[in-house]
Amino acid sequence: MEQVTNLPNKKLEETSLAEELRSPAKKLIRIEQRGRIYTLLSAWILIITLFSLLFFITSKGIMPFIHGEITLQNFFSTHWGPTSAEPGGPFFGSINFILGSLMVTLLSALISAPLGIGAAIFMTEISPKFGRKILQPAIEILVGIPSVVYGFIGLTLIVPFIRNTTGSIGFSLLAGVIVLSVMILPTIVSMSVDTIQSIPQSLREGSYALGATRWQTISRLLVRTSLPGLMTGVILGMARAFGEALAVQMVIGNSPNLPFQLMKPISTLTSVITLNMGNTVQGTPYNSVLWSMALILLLMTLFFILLIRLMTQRGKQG
Amino acid sequence: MTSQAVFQFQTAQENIHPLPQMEQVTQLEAKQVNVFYGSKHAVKDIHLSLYKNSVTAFIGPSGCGKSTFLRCLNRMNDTIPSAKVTGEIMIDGINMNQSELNATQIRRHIGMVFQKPNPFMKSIFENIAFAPRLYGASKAECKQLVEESLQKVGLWDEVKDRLHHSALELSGGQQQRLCIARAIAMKPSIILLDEPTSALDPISTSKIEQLILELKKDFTIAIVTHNMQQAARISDYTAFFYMGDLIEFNHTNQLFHQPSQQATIDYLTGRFG
Ligand SMILES: Nc1ncnc2c1ncn2[C@@H]1O[C@H](COP(=O)(O)OP(=O)(O)OP(=O)(O)O)[C@@H](O)[C@H]1O
Ligand SMILES: [Mg+2]
Repeated sequence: MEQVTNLPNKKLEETSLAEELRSPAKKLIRIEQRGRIYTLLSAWILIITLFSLLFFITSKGIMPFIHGEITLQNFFSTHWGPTSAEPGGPFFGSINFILGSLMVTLLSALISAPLGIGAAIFMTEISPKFGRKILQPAIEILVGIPSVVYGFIGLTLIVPFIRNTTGSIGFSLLAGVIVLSVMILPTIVSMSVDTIQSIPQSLREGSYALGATRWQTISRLLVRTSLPGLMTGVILGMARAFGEALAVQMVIGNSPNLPFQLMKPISTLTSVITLNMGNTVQGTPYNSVLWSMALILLLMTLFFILLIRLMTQRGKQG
Repeated sequence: MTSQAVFQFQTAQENIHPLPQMEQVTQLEAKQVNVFYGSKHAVKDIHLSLYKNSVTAFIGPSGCGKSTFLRCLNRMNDTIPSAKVTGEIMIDGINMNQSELNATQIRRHIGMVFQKPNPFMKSIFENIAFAPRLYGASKAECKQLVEESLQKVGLWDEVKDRLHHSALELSGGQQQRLCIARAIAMKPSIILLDEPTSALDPISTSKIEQLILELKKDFTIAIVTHNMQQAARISDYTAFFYMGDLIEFNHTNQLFHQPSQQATIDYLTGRFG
C-alpha cells in the first residue's frame, strides 16, 4: 500500500546509508501514527460512551432525591406502594428488592461455586479426556442458551415441582435460586477450568515427587494455587446472577416480600425494573425510583468488578 | 551412524555392568526396563543398578531417554497417559514397577528434583513442610525439619529471616536448592536429579555439586547431566545412554578414561553430530 514516491530510483542509489535509512523511517512513522490514531480513537469512543452512561444513570438515579420527590428514608424502607393513595404515600421502599437481589445471588453462588469448582477439577485433573470431549462442549452449550429459555424451563419444570411438593404457589425465592444456579454454573466452571489448566505441569510433578496423592495434590496445591482465579470465576458468576432479569422475573413471583423464606414469592431489583418500566410515565417519581434502583445495580456491579480486580492482583503477587 | 555400529552396541549389552566394589550395596536394580510412548520405543532393555551412598550419572545426547529412564525410578511416568513401562525395578527385594503397588508410597522413598526449579507458590517454609505435613508431621517437627533441610542444602543462613516470604522471591540457584531441601525433608533413601543445574549459573552450579557430594553420605543419588565435567567431578558411576540403549555403564573413572565402546569414545570426544 505504502509507496515511496518522493525518491526516484536514481537518487536512491546515490544517497548514503544514513539517508536511505531515514526516508523509509518516515514511512514507518506514518504507519505508526495511523495505528496510534486508530487505537486512540477507539479508546476515546469507549471511554466517552462509558462515562456518559455512568453519568446518565447516576444523575437519573440521584435526581429524585435531589428534587425531594423521594426521601432516602422512603427509598430505604420496606414499604412498596408506588401508586398508593394512602396517607404518606406513594411508597417507594426498595430495601426488599435490594435484599432480594443479594439473596438470590448469594444463595445461587453458594450452590454453584462448590459444584462448579468440583466439576472443573474433574474435567482438568481426574478425567481430562472425558472433560475435554464431553463436558467442555456441554458447558459451552449451556453458556449459549438464552436466559429466557432458562426462565421458561424454570417456569415449566421447577415452579410446578415446588408447588406440588410443598403446597406453596411455586413461584418463589427457591425457584429463582435454582434457575440462577444453573445459569451461572458454566461461567464458574469455565473460569475455573482455565485457571486450573494454566498451572504448570511441573508443579503437579513436584507434588507427586514428594509423595502426595492426586487428591492431596489437588486440595493442598492446585486449589490453593488457583484460588484467586477460582474466586474470580465465582464473582463473575455472582455478577451475572445479580444482573439477570428475565429468567429470574419469570419464576420468583414478583411480590414485594422480604427474601428470607425460600418458598415465598419475592422481587429483585432487576425484576422490579423490567416489570414496571413500561407502566410508568417519564419524569414521575414512580419512573425515577426505577432509575435509582438501576443506580444501585450499577454500584453493586462496580463493587463486584473491584473484588475481581483485588483477587487477580493477589494472584499475581503469588 | 552405520548399521555395523548398531550391531556392536547390541552385542556389547551383556558385559556393560561394572563389578561393584566389595563394600558397595545395591540399593536399586533395574532389569530389562523398556519404555514406550505410544508406539515410540524410548528406553530399551535397560539393566542398571544404583549403589548405596554413591552418585550415578546418566549422560548421553539429547533425546536418548535419560529423563525417561530416570522417571521410571520413582514411577513418575505414571502421570503420562501414553507412557508404558515394562521390566522390573527392584528395591528392597520388591519389584516396584507393578501397577498394583501404590506409586505414591514408592515416591515417598525416592525423591526427585527437576530440571527447572519448581517451587510452589507458597512460602519457603511451606514448600519444605509440604511433604512432612502430608505424612502428618506436627508443627514442631515441621519446624525442625525445615531448619534441618535448609541447613543441609546450605540455604539456612540465606533465608532464615524470611522463611515466610514467597519461595518465588528466591534466585534460580536458591530455588533449586530449596527444591532439593524439599525432597530431603521427605527423608527418602534415593534422590533422583534431572539436570538440576542446567538452568543455573556457574556459582550456583558448583554449590549444588558440592551439596550432592555432601548428600551422598546420607542418600543414594542418580543425576542426569549434560555436563561431562560435572559427571566426572561428582559421580562414582556413569551410565552412557544412546538412542534409548544403555551403551556403557561403569565406574566413572573407568568410563571416562578407558571407555570400552566406540560410541562412548565418540561421545566423550565430541565426535557426535
Ligand atoms: N511425554 C512424551 N510423549 C512422547 N514422547 C516422549 C515424551 N517424553 C519424551 N518422549 C520421547 O522419548 C525420547 C526420550 O526422551 P527423554 O526426555 O527421556 O530424553 P533425554 O535423554 O532426557 O533428553 P534431554 O537430554 O534433551 O533431556 C525422546 O525421543 C522424546 O521425544
Ligand atoms: Mg531430559
